[in-house]
Amino acid sequence: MFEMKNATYSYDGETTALSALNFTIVQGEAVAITGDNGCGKTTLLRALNGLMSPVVGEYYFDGALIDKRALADASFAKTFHRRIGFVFQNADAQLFCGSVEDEIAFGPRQLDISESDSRRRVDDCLALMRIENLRRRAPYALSGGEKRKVAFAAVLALNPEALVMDEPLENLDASGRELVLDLCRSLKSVGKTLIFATHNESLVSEIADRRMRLERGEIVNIEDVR
Amino acid sequence: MSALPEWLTTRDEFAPGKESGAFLRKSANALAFVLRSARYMPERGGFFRFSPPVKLALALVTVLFVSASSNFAFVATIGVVLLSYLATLDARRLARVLTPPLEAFVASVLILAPSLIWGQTRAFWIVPVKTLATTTALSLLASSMNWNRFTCAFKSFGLPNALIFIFDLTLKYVVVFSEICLETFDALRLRSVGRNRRQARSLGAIAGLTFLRAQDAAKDQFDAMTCRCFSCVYRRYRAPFRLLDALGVIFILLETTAFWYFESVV
Repeated sequence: MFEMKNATYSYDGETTALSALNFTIVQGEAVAITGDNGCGKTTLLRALNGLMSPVVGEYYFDGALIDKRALADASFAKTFHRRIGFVFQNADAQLFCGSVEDEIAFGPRQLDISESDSRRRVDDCLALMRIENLRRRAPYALSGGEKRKVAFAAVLALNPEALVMDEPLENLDASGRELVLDLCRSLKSVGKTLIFATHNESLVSEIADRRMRLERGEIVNIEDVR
Repeated sequence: MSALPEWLTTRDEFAPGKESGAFLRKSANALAFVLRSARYMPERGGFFRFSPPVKLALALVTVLFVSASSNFAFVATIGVVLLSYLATLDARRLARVLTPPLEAFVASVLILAPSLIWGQTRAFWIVPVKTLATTTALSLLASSMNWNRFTCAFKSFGLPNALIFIFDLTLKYVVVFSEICLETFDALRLRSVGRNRRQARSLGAIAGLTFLRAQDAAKDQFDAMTCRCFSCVYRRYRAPFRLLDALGVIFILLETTAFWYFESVV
C-alpha cells in the first residue's frame, strides 16, 4: 500500500530531514515508527500523507507515484487524502470548526453521502470516542485529551483505509489510552492499515506488527514484533 | 474490542468533484512563505558584522534621509552605494536580500506608470528609486539580525521597555503562530476531500482561532517569562565598540553631510 524507494526528503531543499528510505507497508499492517526526539518520525508521517515531496527517490501509494506533480491534480489529491487519515501530534492545530459536531461532520459533508448518513457518522464517531457530551462544545475550549479524542473522531468520520497517527496516546489519561488502544485493535481487525509514531512501548507491543526504528533521518532497523 | 459501526468496516467509493482547491493551496503557500522568511537565520560577514545598534542606526538613517530627500542626485548616490555593496555579495545572499526590494520597485513602477501620461517624469523615476533604496536598506538589516538582536538594539536607543516587550512578543508570535496556522491549513487540506463550498469560512475560522490561541499563548508566555525572573526590563547591547562600528558611524556622518549638501547647496 505504501512504498518508498530510496526516498530522501528535505526542508526548503537545504536541510535533509529523511534520507534514502526504503520500505513497503502492506494493506492491513500495523507499523510503529520509533526513535529519539528529532529523528524524523513526524516528518516521515507528513511525507506519507503527501505533505512533503521527495527530492530524490520515489514514494508510491497503491502503485501510484506521489509527488508534487501528482498532487497538483486536485481530484487525485483528494482521493489520496480521503484514503489516508492523519491524526496530528498537536490536536489543537488540527481542529478548526466552531463545534465538535461541525468538526466531525466537516469531512462527511463533502462526500457524496446524504445528510442523514453524514449525521449518523457523526453520532457513531461521538459514541466510538465516548465524547457525546462534547457535541455542542467548541473544540478550542476543550482539554488536551478531549481535543485528541475529537481529532480521532474527525479523522475516522472520513472512513480512511489507512490511519497515520503521530503520538496517538499523547495527552490522554489511562481510560483514554485504553480507549485508543481498543480502537486501534478494532480498526486493525477490519483490515485498516495503521502507522503510528510513538514512544509508548505498550502501543508497540499490543498493536504493531512491525517496528521501524529511525535515527537521524535514516531507518536503522525494521523488525517484526508479532 | 470496540464495536465499529458498519460504515467503518467497508470501503467508501467516492469520486471527488472538479473543485481545484487552489484557494486553500495558495493561502497555505503564502503562509509558508511568511514562515520561511521569519525562520530565516541571519547571515554573517560585511555589513552583517556591524554591531546591532550601528546596523539599526545605519538602516534607519538611510530610510529617513532617502524618504525626506527631494534631490534625485542624493537618492541616486545612496542607491549607487547600496548597489556597490550588494555587488560584493555572493549570488545566494544577493538573491535573498534583493528579491523583496525588486518586487517593491516593480510594484511602484506599475503604480506610478499612469503619471507618465500627465508628464510627471520626475515622480515616475524618483519614487521607485527611493522605494528600491529604502527597501534594500531594510532588507539588508532584516537579513543580518535576528529578533533578539533587534530588542537589544532598540534598548540602546532608549526605547521604553513596554514598547520593546510588545515588539519582542509580536516577533516571537509571527513564527509560533505561522507554524500553528500552517499545521491547521494542512489539517484542513487533508480533510478537504470533496466539495467544500465554505472554504473562505474555514479560513476565517482558522484566523479567528489563531487570534484566540495568540491571546492565551501570550499570557502563558508572559507568565513563563515572569517565573524565570523576567521583570519587563530589557538589557542594552553590551558588546565592545569596534573599529568596524566606528566605520559605520563615519558612514552615518557622511550620509548626513551628503543629505545636507544635496538638499541645501545643490
